[in-house]
Amino acid sequence: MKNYPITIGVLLLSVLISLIALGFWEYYCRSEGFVATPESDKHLWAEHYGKIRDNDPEQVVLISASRGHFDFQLKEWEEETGIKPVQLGAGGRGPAPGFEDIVQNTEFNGTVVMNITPGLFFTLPEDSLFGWFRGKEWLDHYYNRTYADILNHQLSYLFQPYFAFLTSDSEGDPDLKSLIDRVHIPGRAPTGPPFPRFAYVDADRNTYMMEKTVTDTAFAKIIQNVWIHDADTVNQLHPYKDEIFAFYKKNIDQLKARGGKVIFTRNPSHGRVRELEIMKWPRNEYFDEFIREMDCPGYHFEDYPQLDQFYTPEWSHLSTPDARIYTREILRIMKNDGVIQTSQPKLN
Amino acid sequence: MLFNSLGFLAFLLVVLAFYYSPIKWVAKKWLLLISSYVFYGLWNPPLVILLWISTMVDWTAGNKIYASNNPRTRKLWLILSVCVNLGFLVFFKYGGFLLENFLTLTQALGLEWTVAKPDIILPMGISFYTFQTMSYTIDMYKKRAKPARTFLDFALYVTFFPQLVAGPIVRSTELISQFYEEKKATINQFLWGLFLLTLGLFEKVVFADALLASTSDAVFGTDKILNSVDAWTGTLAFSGQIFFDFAGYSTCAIGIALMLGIILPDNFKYPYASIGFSDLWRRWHISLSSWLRDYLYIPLGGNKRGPVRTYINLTLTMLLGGLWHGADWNFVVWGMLHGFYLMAERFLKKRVHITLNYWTGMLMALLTFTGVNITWVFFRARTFSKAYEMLKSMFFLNPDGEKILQYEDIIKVLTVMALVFLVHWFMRDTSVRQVAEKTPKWVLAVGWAFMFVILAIAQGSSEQFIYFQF
Repeated sequence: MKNYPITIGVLLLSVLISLIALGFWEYYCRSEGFVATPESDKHLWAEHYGKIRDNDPEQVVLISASRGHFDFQLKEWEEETGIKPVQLGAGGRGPAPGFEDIVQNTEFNGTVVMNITPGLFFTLPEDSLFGWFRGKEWLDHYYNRTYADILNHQLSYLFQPYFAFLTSDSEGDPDLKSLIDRVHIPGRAPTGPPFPRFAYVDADRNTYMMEKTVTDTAFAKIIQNVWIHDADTVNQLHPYKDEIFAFYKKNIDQLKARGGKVIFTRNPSHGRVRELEIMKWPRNEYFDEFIREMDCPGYHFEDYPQLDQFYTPEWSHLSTPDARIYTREILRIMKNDGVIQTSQPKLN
Repeated sequence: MLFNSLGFLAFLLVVLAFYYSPIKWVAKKWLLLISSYVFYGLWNPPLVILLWISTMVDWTAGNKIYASNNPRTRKLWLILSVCVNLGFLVFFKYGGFLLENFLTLTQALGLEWTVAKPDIILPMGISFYTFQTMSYTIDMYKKRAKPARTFLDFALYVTFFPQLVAGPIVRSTELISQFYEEKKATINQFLWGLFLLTLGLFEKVVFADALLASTSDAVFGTDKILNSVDAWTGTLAFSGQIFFDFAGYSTCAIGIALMLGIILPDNFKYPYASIGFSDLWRRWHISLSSWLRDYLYIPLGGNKRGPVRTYINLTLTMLLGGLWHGADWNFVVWGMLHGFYLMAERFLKKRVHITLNYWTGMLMALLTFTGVNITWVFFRARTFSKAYEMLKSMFFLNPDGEKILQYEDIIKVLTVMALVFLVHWFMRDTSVRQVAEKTPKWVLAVGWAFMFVILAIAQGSSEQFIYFQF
């Protein structure tokens, strides 16, 4: 057999069909509301984690679960303080492993701002909750990623910001696996509630809540069910409360000793999510006691009318326009208190 | 570097651009060699040193063995080569396993002895390239092949990036001689290589990762005792996943090499339609099974020393084949099961006579496929207890086992695997190329476009090939 069956004609026809098909698919994805943005994945997180600098007291790092990721808007933060923070918020991933690593394995001495989403914040490996392990998973990727991983991630910027059909890290996305997973025949084995995409990020990891989440209450209800399901699986953490407090205390003291600072926030939640949080992590036993013991500034949204004026559409995160206002308001409070780092004018 | 990644596609484009630029053949070979080190080093740069050591030792040993007429000198160089190659394998792959079993033994004898578990990284594809280089020195010793003409040709044989980390394991006679004269793919050869690369990626990304991996992971990852439907579905899903993963890699490797004008041998020939287990090993991971046949089974005496010795040789060969895959007793059992199947087949062939026609052939193929699936349980389960519980579930001994899969998972896996079996059955005596030659061009174009579009849609996380860990 000396001849091979593929000819130039076959290639050209195949390229033509592919371009037309992908063009239609891209059009369909955009019409369905998908946006061409980078994926909010471990690669993007690791890229930003790598931006943490040693011995730079001006640097600000935001590390928390999704609430801190949605509610703090980077543009407004930079406008208010003159400093563009590193956004390390991550959905469903507790900040503890990342925070510990910043303290123990870097010489970072800037400001860490951590939002307290109780179910994901008050965790240690001992309690076997997903908050710790999922947070650790991305941190491990930062250390274990290969040069090939970094190259692939950098090359993804050539495509992801331009093609909406490449959106692929949530249920309901237009990638093949998500399309297959859309088929569901109920009745055989228990399964969690559906969890469609309700936000996207940009290359700075700034998060934008999708408009549909704000305007479509039926859609918001689907997301609410996910939070209730997650919160229901978490029991009260009293058995490990002391260990969790001791863990944070040790790391905070170490960071303070080298000139660093930690600020805690408690961003808004509503509905059943709020009820479950109040029931499982009562404010006086957790947030208040924690702030007292850590001896750090802490800002609870209930304490400030300007922070308590918003409604979270899916009970846990602010819409993007509200998050912009919230970011400015909370920073103004922090600036009044003199606790937040602002850019110092450089002397020539 | 993974074939199913943007980084690799960029890498391949750069390599092809230089390869087809007007530079001398020697420069092209240097380009391929350096590219191969980059390909490997982007995963873990220091481990390229292992490739260099392996290359230097086997180049020197091969030349010394071939040049010498002194049997003792020849044997010493061969022993050195084998020791270095197996030494790498033992240290990096089996060190922890041996230590763990040694400790278990000492504890069983009542000796209190604890040693920290070694934290050794397993170099990607180490079993592939060590077996390849060992075959070179053994062939020199047996005078079955001539040494490579230049060090560059040999280094490229050891390191050639399309097949470096997961085969096919090629013999020196199959590859080195191709480096002696300038290779340049014809346009049709290049396009066929590109088509094979697309097909291989389609097998890996669409079938192995998107369609089958999640079901297999769910079933083998749970601690629950499973319902028999779930256990069978998970096992079938893994059966399909590992085939598409590995055959997909081999197809990519063959396609990429072809784009460079270099021909690699087939590694898979529709194994799930094998009629019997000796047929299976002529169709599954052909380059490994032929290696084991030529460098282990035949030297042990093969089938020339009576039935008992033949059975022992078969078992030993398959046991080593199991261990080649991983340092775990589960892999040993997997290999022994295959050894047992081969013995049973040999035993029965002489006593039970079945006339093979279309239907009996298909029935035998189905029986073989079922037997293969049972072995995959040991291959995929991480512990014996998991494998044991899975087999109990598969044989209806866990009637109260839990249901963890959804209806759609079961339908998806059973449909895909039924199609896999049928496609393998209808393709068992032909090849993709032969089928493509008979297919109208426009159908080929539509098929190729379909694969490309689905691949583009299926993107997402680049999952590592299963066989990289071996």
